[in-house]
Amino acid sequence: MNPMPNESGLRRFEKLFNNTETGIFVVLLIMCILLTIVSPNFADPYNLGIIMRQFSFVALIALGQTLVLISGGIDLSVGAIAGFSGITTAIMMVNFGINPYVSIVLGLLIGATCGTLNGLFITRLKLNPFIVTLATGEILVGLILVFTKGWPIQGIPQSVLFFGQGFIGPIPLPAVIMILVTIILMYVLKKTPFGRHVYAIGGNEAAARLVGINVNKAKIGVYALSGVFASLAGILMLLRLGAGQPEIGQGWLMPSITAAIIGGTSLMGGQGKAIGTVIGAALMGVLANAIVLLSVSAYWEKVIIGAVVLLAIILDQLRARWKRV
Amino acid sequence: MVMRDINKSFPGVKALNHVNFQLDPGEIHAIVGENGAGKSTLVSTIMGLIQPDSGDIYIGDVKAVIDSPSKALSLGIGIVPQELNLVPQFTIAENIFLGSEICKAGVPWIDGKATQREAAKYLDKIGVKLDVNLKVGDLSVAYQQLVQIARALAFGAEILILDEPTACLTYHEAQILFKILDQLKEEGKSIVYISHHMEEIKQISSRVSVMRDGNLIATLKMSDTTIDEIINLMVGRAFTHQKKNRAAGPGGTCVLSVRHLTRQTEFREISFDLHEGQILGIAGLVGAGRTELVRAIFGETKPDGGEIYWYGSKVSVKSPKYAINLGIGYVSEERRKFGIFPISSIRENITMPLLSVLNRWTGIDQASEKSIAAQFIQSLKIKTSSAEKEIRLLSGGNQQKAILGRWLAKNVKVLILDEPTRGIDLNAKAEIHELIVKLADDGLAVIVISSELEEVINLSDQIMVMHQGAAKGFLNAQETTQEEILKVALG
Repeated sequence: MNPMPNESGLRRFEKLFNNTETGIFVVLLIMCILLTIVSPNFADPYNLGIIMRQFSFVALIALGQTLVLISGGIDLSVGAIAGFSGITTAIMMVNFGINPYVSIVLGLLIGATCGTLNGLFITRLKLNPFIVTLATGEILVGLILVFTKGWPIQGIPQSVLFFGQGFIGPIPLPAVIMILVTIILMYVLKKTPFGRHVYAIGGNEAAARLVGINVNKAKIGVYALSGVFASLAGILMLLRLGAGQPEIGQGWLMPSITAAIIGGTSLMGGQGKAIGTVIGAALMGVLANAIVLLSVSAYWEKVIIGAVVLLAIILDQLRARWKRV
Repeated sequence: MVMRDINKSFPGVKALNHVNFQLDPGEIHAIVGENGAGKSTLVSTIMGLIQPDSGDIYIGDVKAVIDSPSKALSLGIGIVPQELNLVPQFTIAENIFLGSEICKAGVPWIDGKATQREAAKYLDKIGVKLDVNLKVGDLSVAYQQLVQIARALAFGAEILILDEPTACLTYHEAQILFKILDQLKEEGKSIVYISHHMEEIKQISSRVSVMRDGNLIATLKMSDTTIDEIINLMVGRAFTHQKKNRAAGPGGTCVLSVRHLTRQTEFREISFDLHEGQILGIAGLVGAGRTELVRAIFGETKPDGGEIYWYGSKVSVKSPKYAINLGIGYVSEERRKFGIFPISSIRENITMPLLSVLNRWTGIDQASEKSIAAQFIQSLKIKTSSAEKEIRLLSGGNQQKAILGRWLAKNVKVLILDEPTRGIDLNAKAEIHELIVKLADDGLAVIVISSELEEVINLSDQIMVMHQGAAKGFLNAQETTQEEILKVALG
């Protein structure tokens, strides 16, 4: 017997609109419609494909960042891990002649290792995640320069470039991979004990320990996964560019946090969704594209994105306040 | 200072009930009462931390509205709180003048020399010889307290409030403090002194006010009263035995045995047995080591010595996870800090320790999860419109029921309840009491820590009374009285 009344359709509808991600999605939709009207080139499948590919990389690391933020931490090394994994994968393929597929797997393992090290420092030595990941990020960026001396690594085997450059139908392969990762992460967060534990730790870490959650283990897992997602983004970018550019991953950190926050993830921990983050990343991607299509000076891009972030969190705050009443 | 007819209610509790309190110049006025009697509320009112619902405060002959701590300071009220509020990284001099920095004439530059000189003057006034350039963090608690007193004087305090000042002091340090307080009294300052230690109060105060259940029961001249009389007033009404004789009781299998459990500075040499169906009460004053003891049993902290036996075999409880796997559940006294996951749903809060059991290869079995949550919401009468509601939106009583449900769903063998009904309205409190007794009747072994003597006596079969980290005695709850417990608890 169920003591609670079943939710009516109206309540469900209301609930839908009480979600940050729905609100942001509506904003995204309105933007797309307006752009279609103003600029006919926008809705062109090719253009849409380009947008998707562009934001896929940021979306991937933002998914890892979301996981870390939900657990109440922060990962400032995501861009650096992306770059480092990309470069080491390129070196393995080109300089050591390792099978490119094996190199990719090893590259992902390197990302996982970097993340695990972050997690170990944070949990075992009880260091602040902000400082730890700031430092490891600096080290990895430095190592990229040590390994490459600032020169790109040319001669990535053609056989694996389709991961970065290919399409399935109209959809670029990096976007397909990003969507797959999103679905997996949504499942992990919603359906597995690990996912539930991550929310619990972010919501109340002291209480989490007292209900028997192995907090350290879960946190290490969170940072390790963030490392894997970052290295996946970095390797895909490597294969997209066809060359091991030392700049891979530079400037990805802030957008990763921005996408998560636009999508409703709380910096206080305990709250956030994978789908929200992807919509947040998409919103930023569409904005960047709109700036090109509308021939606005590219110098304005950051101003506009900053303003959008402010607007998004203000709207979300208002919505939350309205909900409480 | 005179307080007239002060009233203050919190949801479900009448914290101050028509309190009249008078503080004369040049007296040390002690306030005593059990935990939760309203002492802290009264002090918070004087400090401007909370506003009374009604009633007036007069300083001298002038009616005062104390609407903020800074207002209290400007009225000449200084406090030495239990948790000292000094900045450890700053020097003594900087701390004394924090918030009233001495500046060079006309410019916002702190005058370091003058600060040091003035600070030294105030330390000298209370007879303390210390270099004012020492960092406060390097001082012992006793000296930090004196710095706090100097700070109050530097703010021009005429009224000084001390909340449990000797809790962390040695006997010798306390005597030094008393000498300083005596001297301040001679200078005409008024001192409000809150303490649990009867001997101290007898030694230094001129009058004592006794509080109970939000009422100020009596104000007595120290020379006219005895410690026994004060304790009787603290306990109050003749205690009625509403206790039912429970069918089940000690006699079941011994679940948990603790032998000589010790943890430096917290508790020492604690031994007891807990049987199926038994409710063991732990009484004692705040700071007696009750919470520290159960946290160690639950694996949250590591004891320095002693053993724990689970169904007769020795175990080393190295983490809460380990304790839970044995079959121990712990409900903390601080529900918000250690109990609930505020922005998670009631369902998720109940099933949190169950996830490994509910996990299938496809993930958490959400159908079973929902039905378990629904089952406990119903059986524990948790008042909510939906299991999906965020738990922070529930009342304290319903939150507490959900946390109890968490451990019942986990099917624990021992349930440790730390102040299970603190801050909970009377109705929910009665329901929780009923539930605890019913669970024990069904064979659950329960440990109940409570500062409410009535609660301990009513619920428990046996009561362990702790004082300063030691088990001072085991009393049979059927026969003991509040007076007896309090006497043991006061040492």
